[in-house]
Amino acid sequence: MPDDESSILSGPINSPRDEQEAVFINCPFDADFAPLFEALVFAIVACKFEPRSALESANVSEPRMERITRAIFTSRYSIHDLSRCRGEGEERLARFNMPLELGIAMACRYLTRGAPHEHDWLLLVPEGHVYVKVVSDLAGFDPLKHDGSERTVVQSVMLWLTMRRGVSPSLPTPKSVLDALPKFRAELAQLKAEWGPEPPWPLLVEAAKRTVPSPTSTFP
Amino acid sequence: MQIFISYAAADREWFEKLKTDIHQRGIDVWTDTPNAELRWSERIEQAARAADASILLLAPQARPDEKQNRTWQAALWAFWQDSSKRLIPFLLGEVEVPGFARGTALDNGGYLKVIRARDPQQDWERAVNSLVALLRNEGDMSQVEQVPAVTEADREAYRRFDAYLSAEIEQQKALLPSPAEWRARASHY
Repeated sequence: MPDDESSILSGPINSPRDEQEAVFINCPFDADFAPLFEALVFAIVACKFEPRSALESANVSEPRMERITRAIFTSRYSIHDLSRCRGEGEERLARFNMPLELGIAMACRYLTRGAPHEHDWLLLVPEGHVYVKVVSDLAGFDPLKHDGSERTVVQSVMLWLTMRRGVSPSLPTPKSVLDALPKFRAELAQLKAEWGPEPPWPLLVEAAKRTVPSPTSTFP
Repeated sequence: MQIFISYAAADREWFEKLKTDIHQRGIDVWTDTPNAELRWSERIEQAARAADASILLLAPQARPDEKQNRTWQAALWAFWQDSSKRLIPFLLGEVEVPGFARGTALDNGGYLKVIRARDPQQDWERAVNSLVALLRNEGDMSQVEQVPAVTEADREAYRRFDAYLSAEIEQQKALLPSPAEWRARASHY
């Protein structure tokens, strides 16, 4: 691992990005949520957006909050899943990182309102989630819901992202994306065999890019 | 047969006219009735799910308003749940069909059937008749237009995105340590 400033960890956040193309993912990073996280990444790439997350710059010397804030502010869109915002484990603790990062995205939206790169965010919650009790300020916002399955997560995210596009381009259907998901999973398994359980972010995105269904392969 | 029509607030007059003219031809159009039980967004989702087809009324304008966007979402969601439900753009003048609507034809022959009233003042009746024929799958369909699911602009957008993402990935990959060094770390997250 290089220990100078030109490491993988400092590169991505300092590189010039096309923020119009970027979607920041704010979701739990745990084993239970991992299949949904991978499905999220895959759906975002299928919609021709660049997925971004805290993982792309993990362990960088810059404080975590600054890294995340920078990533949100250089992304046109963000997706926030509040699945873990209720008591869990023996101590019945809730996780507050996700609502905190949602707050950053909301601030970003207010600060960019009316600008060509106006930030927009999606709230994703499990069905039956009492998110309004957790963050009552969210009453009045319409979240998209999922039932904890890859199918509903992919459909909800694709629905929202598809609507962020205008006249062009047309995008694959969730069905074709879900059909291709096992190919992505197979590539991820190979990456994990080589790099360990947490493969580097660019390789994850590259695997998604390689395996997403292409509309032009159906109609060349 | 029950139809759900999506329209922009600015096109309400066209919507009312279309609703009346379709109804006169024996097809029911869902009309919103506010109630305390369901929010508007829930009512349109329910309506799109219950409808046999969704009509996207599209007139030239800069960008869809928020409510129209939500009705598009409802119509697209209903189609994704049941692809036998049709999604038919009804175009007023030279309007481009949004990518989300063309995308529904990707798994379905590659062409989306649309109705276009090039000059709504002149050929409205003909367009409505074609729409009804298309909904019923019978009668004169000579005015039904076929729009490709993938246009040249789409291909250019795919190429641009692929080049952009590849460059980002390569830039980040160039800074990666070896797999052994990477694995040696306890956690990267």
